[in-house]
Amino acid sequence: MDFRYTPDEQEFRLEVRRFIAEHCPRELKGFHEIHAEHVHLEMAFLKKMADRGWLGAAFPKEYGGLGGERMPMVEYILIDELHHADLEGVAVTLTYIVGIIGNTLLQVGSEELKKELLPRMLAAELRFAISYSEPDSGNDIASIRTRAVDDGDDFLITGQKRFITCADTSDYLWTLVRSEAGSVRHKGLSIVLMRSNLPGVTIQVFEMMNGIQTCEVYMDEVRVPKRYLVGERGQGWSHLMEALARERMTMINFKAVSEPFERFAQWVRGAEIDGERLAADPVVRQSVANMHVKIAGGKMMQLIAGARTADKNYIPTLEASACKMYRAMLSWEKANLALDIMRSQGLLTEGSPDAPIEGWWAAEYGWAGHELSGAGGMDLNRKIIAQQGLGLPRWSN
Amino acid sequence: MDVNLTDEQQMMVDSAREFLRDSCPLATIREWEKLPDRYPRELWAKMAEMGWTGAIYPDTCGGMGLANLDMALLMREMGRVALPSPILSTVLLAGRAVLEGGSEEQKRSLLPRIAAGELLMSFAFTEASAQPDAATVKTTARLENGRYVLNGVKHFVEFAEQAEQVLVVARTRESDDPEQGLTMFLIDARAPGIEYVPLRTLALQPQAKILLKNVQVDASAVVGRVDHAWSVLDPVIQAATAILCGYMTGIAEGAHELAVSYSKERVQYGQPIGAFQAIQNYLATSWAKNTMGEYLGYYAAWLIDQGIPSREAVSTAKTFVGYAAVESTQLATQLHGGLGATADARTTPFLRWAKQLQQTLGNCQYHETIVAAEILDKEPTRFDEKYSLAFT
Repeated sequence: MDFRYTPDEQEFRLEVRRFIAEHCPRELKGFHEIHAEHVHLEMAFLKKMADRGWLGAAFPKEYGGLGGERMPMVEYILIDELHHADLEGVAVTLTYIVGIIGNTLLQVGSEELKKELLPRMLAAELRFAISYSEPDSGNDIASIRTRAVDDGDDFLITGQKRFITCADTSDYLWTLVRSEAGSVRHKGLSIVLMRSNLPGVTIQVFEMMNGIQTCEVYMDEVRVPKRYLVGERGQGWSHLMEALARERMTMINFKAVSEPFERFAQWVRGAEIDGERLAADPVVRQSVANMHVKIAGGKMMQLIAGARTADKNYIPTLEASACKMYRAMLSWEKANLALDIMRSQGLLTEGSPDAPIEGWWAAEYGWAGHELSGAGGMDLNRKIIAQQGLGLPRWSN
Repeated sequence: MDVNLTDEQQMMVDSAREFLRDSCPLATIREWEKLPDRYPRELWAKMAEMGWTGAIYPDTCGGMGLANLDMALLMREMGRVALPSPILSTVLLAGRAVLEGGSEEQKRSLLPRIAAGELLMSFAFTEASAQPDAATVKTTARLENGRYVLNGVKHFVEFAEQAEQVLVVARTRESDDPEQGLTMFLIDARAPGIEYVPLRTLALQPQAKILLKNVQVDASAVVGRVDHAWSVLDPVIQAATAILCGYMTGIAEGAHELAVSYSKERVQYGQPIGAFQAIQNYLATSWAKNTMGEYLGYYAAWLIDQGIPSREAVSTAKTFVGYAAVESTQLATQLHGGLGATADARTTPFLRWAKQLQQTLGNCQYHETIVAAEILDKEPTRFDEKYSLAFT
């Protein structure tokens, strides 16, 4: 066991830290997901990272990567440092491109598709959205109804997707469809990459509880060439499972919990309310320490998974589900704690006089609900651990 | 970054697991409770043969020179079968304090005997607060005519009556700084003036309150430097705490395994109860927390081995594992239904040990105050930059 980065990795981490301090526009900080008005800033920032070869560090050279031999932890370190710098939104975009879609495409995609898309992805020229869930298919993704009808060289795709975050700013939709007529459940599904501007695609933005934007995607006989099929036709479910484990690991990164709480603890150190130092109050001290310890557990699980995925063939299904589940468990608990300690000040929102930490925690209280559902809800992830990890029997649906 | 065991560690763990599985079937666990000293002496002798009782001592003292992390891995295996033994008090606390602070003569006379499984020592440090804190020590040792005279009361001393030697921590000098003025004394457990008040504990481990009434010892009984015991004791207690986290992880996992296997066997409403989502949710959550605690413990032990500042990590691990082990063992008891509450329930030793060890070497509340001091009173460490740590 060694909980240190290698000298190469450490040097890379400090380089990323300096790079972010120097090149990252302030406007990108403090967002869970990047909205349309900041996309051009974000793409310019990602482009600078891509120019340094960082997006494709672990990818083979023939697809525009650096070969990946030197440092298996590059992707992990990049995401970690982005969270450290309060850039969760950028980390999410990056993990769509590299962590989830790039890696899954690399593993299962056709040579033609890899040659066409990966070099442009690793150069930060393309944006993606993940298009799985539907109005009637949330946790139960195997029940989707969006259908792809075989029409010669193309699929004709019709259906409706819901909660497709970043669809409005994407170039491609990573779309789960039912490609085999008459199939049920997880048999007969496929993943296709659909250009977001194709005729028949309609994208409507709507707002979540605290102003976070997400989208509804309507598809009406959208004609997608079959070469945009990802992996094997009809094997979408197994590709999806792999992609989901990567998603839970990278997008649902535990640093998105620990780093904001770290900033909160820093605030507590210096805060005074009515002349009383918060850090001198034994109740405050005990509860901050208690949450700090709980959060340490999640960070450790994240780290275990990160270290194990340095082996590209390792899919951290259980570790990822544990991180996601635990992050959901703490979502409201940590927000409650922070708001209770800040008292009424904590309720002041961004832009209000006297709002501590730019009103971050008042906003977080609304966001916390979102954390319960993204990338599979808390109980779905517990089911994965129970059935795949502990070997408990499946329950009858 | 590497979170895997080395080949040597894996071999050690595998052979320990195999040995303990063969020597400790569930039925014997409940039999141990009926033994006079509540631990299996024959097994202790076998553990000594395998080198476990001297594992962390150097080979010059009859040991194997294992790192703290290795010892935590070994202790986890003992925890998985809820094996009670004097390993904490004798090997990890009293013996190790002698190793770190004692004279060559003291080390030579005591440590090989501990490693051989022949000598039990008790560690008389804790007083009424049960906190592993220098300020807790009120017992005094006055120098009179070249001899020390000890007076005071030590609480919760494990295996006190069974031990041959007792390591007593006493205050030799009053000081504004409670970490100054402490001294360790090596005393014959039958010395005049020592009285034992046997205590009956939740986990059935033998403990006693030790009354020290004008106990007289020669200056040769001092272990380490007079007035400066804390510089030895603090790291010894820190390491023992990190290693104990391994044992507690084992306790949590042993109970969890019982709960999982019972949930697969027990049929109600026409199906195994483990098929119910409510049961799956419990067991999945508990698995996740046990795994987190397991690695927080390894991390703390590893930091100590590397000489990297570790106080926050040790207290974080002890707190996390303390809560997780209690939760896991309570869950295992709960999932066994009425059976879990019967007199001879197989989950009971795990349930009792988790709670007892949660209070041992500082409970969760104590360690939370340590964590609070580290994160709220000190400047942020930036250890990640200094030591290249990936856990930040």
